Amino acid sequence: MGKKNGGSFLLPSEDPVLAELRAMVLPSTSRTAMGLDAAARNLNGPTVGDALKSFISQLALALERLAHDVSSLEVCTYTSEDLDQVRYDPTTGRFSGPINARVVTRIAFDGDIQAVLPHKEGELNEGLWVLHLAMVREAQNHRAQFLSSMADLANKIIGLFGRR
Amino acid sequence: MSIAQDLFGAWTLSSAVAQRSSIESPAVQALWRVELPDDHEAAMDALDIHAFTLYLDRDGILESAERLYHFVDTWVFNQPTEAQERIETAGSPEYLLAEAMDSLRSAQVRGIARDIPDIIEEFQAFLGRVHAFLSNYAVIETASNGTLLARTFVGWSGDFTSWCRTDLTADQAIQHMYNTRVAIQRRRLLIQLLSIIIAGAADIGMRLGTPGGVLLALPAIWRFIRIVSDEYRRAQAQNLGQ
Repeated sequence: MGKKNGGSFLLPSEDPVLAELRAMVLPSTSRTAMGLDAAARNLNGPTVGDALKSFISQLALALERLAHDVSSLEVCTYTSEDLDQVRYDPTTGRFSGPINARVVTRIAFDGDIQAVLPHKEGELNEGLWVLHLAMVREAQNHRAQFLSSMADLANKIIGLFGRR
Repeated sequence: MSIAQDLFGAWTLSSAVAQRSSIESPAVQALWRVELPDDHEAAMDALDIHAFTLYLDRDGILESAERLYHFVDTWVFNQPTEAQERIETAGSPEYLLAEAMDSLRSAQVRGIARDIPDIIEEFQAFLGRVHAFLSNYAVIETASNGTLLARTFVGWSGDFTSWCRTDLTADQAIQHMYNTRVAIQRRRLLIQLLSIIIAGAADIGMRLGTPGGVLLALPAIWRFIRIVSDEYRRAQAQNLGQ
């Protein structure tokens, strides 16, 4: 079952967190990553220098990855009789193991929302539903705050090493 | 236990998790696992303690940041602040920081590296752990009596994928949500702490002319924040005990 945009009862289509992200994140992340590369090149020296250089390179890579992946936010919640048997690869999103039901919410960068719910009666129990709704809210807040913290860190590093 | 260890809360870096939980995931993953009692109220109380220590650490770091800004205003910009008296008090965190920075200014870089090797090593270890956190997916688990109730993967771009028991109750769902919130706020605090250290080094670097001095300022600032945060935690613990 799918619900799109105004038909969704999960979230308002014009979420303020997403609006803030729209204005803030996409245009700046690539530039930030480029600045970080320059900062890493300016770093020489053993011990702390090497550790920091490696850290900055990772941060630049991560910000580049974010710039590509930030176009939508996906929250998936599954139930299983035996969680220890579930195998999941977060890189590809592939999983294996016993699955009973799932709820998926995908929020596009323009605010469109799609939700997939179980169609069999009784599969959407209260625990699953409460958890999924909480995770959707948490994911939205987390992404905005995390990106803001990462961008701040990147700017501080560029300020320290990038303009020498 | 000092702030250096406590800052990570229940976060651990584990290769075992990756083998158990994923098909092709990276060799090391950041895992936050909390064991809770059966009773919902007792479980929420246990999570309150995790949240309380998070806020205590955050407040300690904010206190350190404020004192660091005062230090910078006085030591770099010669502005009169409350840091002046502390800089002149032997053994205070400000005194130790000023001493370290003076060593850097007077080209005694080798000297400071020799004087604080433990701090340099500790800062590198901290940087390495934050690096590992940023390189991998975060996994958050909530368990009760050894049974896993729910597990959430937080991807790099902020996607959440959760698995929960088929018979998960609404109360248990709330427990996992609370646990997840504390875990990701704790991870964010580490990034904010690093930002504070780097911003402090950038300001202090304006007065350091020594090549490589800024790099050595980083562990000295880390030591400053660690000492002030530890002082703050002790003071808060004393207040609670009274």
